[in-house]
Amino acid sequence: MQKSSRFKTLRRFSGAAALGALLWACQRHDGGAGVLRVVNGAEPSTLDLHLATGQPELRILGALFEGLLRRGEHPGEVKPGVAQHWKASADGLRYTFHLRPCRWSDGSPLTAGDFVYSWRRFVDPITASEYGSLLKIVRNGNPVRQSKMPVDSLGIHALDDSTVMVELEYPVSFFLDLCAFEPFAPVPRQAIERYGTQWTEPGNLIGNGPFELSKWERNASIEVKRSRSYWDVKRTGLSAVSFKAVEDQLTAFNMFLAGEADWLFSLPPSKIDAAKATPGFFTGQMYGTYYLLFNCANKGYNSPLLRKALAYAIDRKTLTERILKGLPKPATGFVPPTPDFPGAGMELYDPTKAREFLRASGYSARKPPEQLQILFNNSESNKTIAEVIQQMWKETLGLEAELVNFEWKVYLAQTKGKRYPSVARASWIGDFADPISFLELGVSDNGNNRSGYSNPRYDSLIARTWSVPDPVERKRVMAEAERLLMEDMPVAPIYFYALSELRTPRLRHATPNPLGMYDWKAITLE
Amino acid sequence: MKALPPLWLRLFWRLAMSAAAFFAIVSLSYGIMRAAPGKPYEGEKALDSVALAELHRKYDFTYAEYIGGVFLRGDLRTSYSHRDLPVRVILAEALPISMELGAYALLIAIFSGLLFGILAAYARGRWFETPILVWALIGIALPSFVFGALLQLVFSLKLHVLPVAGWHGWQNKILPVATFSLAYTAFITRIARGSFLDNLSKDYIRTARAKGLGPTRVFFRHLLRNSVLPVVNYLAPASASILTGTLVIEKIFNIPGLGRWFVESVFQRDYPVAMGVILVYSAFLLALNFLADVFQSLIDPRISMQ
Repeated sequence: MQKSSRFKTLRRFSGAAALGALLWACQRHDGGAGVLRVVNGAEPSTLDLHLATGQPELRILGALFEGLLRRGEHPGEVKPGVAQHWKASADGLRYTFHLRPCRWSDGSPLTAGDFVYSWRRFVDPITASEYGSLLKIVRNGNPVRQSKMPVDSLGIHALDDSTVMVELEYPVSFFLDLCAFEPFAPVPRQAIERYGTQWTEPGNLIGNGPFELSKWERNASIEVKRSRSYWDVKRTGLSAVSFKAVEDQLTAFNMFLAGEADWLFSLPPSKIDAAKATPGFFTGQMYGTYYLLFNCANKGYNSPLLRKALAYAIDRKTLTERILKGLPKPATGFVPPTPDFPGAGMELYDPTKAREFLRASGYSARKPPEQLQILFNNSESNKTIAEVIQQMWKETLGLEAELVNFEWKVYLAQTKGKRYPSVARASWIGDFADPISFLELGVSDNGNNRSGYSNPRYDSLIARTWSVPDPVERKRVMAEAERLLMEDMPVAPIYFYALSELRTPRLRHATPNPLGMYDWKAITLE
Repeated sequence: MKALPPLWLRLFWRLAMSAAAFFAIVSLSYGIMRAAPGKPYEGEKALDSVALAELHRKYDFTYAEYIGGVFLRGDLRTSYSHRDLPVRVILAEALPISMELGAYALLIAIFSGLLFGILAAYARGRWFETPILVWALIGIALPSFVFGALLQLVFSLKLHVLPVAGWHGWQNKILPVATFSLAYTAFITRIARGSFLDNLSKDYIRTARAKGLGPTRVFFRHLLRNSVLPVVNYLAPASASILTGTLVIEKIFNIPGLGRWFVESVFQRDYPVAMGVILVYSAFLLALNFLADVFQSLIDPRISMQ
């Protein structure tokens, strides 16, 4: 008797618990109408347009701010942003932008003066913006950046409240694309002057984009909601976006499976096969290259022959297909596929050539180059790739390479200071869709040249790309520079990056631009 | 026999020692951190020398400036990598979350650990001794990232009853607390079992029983008091680490606690944040050790605070 009644209670209890769980499970699977929950990777380090550098920051800033122009879905295409229309002078050195009447999220009018203030703050060495050097293309940008001229000599002027005029140092063909890059958007002078360094906090931050900041829980999420004061509010598709700061890829993947997230921008390498089998899987091009750096200052590695021997011995097709699940494409040059740019288009794997180059370099399996090693920063995929390359060098050239891994900051110090003995892994993601964002890395005095490569002919080719007004001729010069780079091989390109995402099937109009970034205004949820 | 100095003097001496240790920890951590290779402002992209010089001018500090700021003005400075975010704000936001997670885990670990430990001690030779001991062994051996992932798989992905990650409602807190408390429960179970078994065979328990005291009285008046000492000893340093954040749990369950800040700041060479977390952690550790000493001498007057 007693046993059966206890059993009944248990049954009743478990029934209620199951029902409760079911109801609760149903309610939590929805982010709410028009609310998109994206996993944004690391916690954004700042929401200051001029200090942000990483993708997690730039994604959110793209929702909160709008520059003179917006990036279109097609390569090189720009759409009107704050600027309604614009005109370039015949020599390509002067651009005039006519602004539409629009407001900041606090209701105050946005004027041409805001752009002048912002670009001056952006270039000002006191701001210490990493992207600030991009403004060297604007007149006097370089001397201002070096503190040799006052910031107000920068070539940007407010002709009146609704007209911005920009003077350039060179006829830069990608200038309009840069105007759509997040750090070129205006920052709110009124908030910066009032709150100082704390202007990016919720309640203080004033934006001019399709969304406004509503909540910031550090290491948890940043929430933005549709801005009523945005000029094109009728076309903002989502009512809110929650950018979740989740660093652990496996946790993010589980959140997607459990319906706690709608969109993942990166996947754990171990789950790519599983993800590919789901309808939510999405892949696309990303403007980035994974490559090896050779320290051109050191003995042996100062010879293009040895560098080419090592570069041509890497079977990129096997590496990308077998190890990286076929998502990235084998590199055929240093510059990732760019519209209207031919690219080097080379087959960089040729074991016969590799052995010939090695013989010509004077090295062999019996007389190996000194301190052959691959230095990389700690990560599972870097380690796997280094191991595969190590094996390929051994099989094709008979050379034994040592693998050396460091944590991020030490790796940076080693590569930036050119203190690695021979070979190091590296990667570069273009900030704007132009080959120059990659080719510049080979210029002798470029701060990001970590191979120590120096070839006056290459430097003069790159210098020419800045002054050639004809875009077709400019691309021809850049293509010549890339071929020269591949001839000297200070870097051995391995693969071109690809997007690998998981998305809810309800997501619409999410087309990445050539840089793999999204226009939050266009995106909708069904 | 030499008489002990008065209690207040012993307390004062112990406090002074703790303060000296605190100062030593802070100084050593500062030195070690500054000696680590890699620079705080070093990002992936090159920064012009003028901008870099500006960063150095604005944010660099010496040991004396840091110590002076902390101890004289309570100024913990601002983060480097989350530029201009005050360390005070980071601690104020993240510490309560870590403490909440830790407090739940600690409570569960103490109660269930003591319960299982006592059960296992009394169950010596009976059938349920083995399951408890096996469970305790699993708890110690199983890494929390495995146990956490296992709980996520079962309760979030298969049964759909609890969320995978986050720290909002009570539902979010069940899995991380369960994961976090497992290892500590297991440790306490084993320590408590050992200590109780040890005391159960002692003469004073036999005497108490022989006096005709009931089992409840023997347990509460004599056994518990003496057997709980090793657990208290273990709990003092353990509580400090439980209450100040855990990277693994915070990462698996995406909890915005202090552990994540600590690891990120060390990797980023964000000296002010890392130092802030070390300050909090060492203060906790020393305070709890001090409390444990006081508590021990209250439980067992034979233990002097020296």
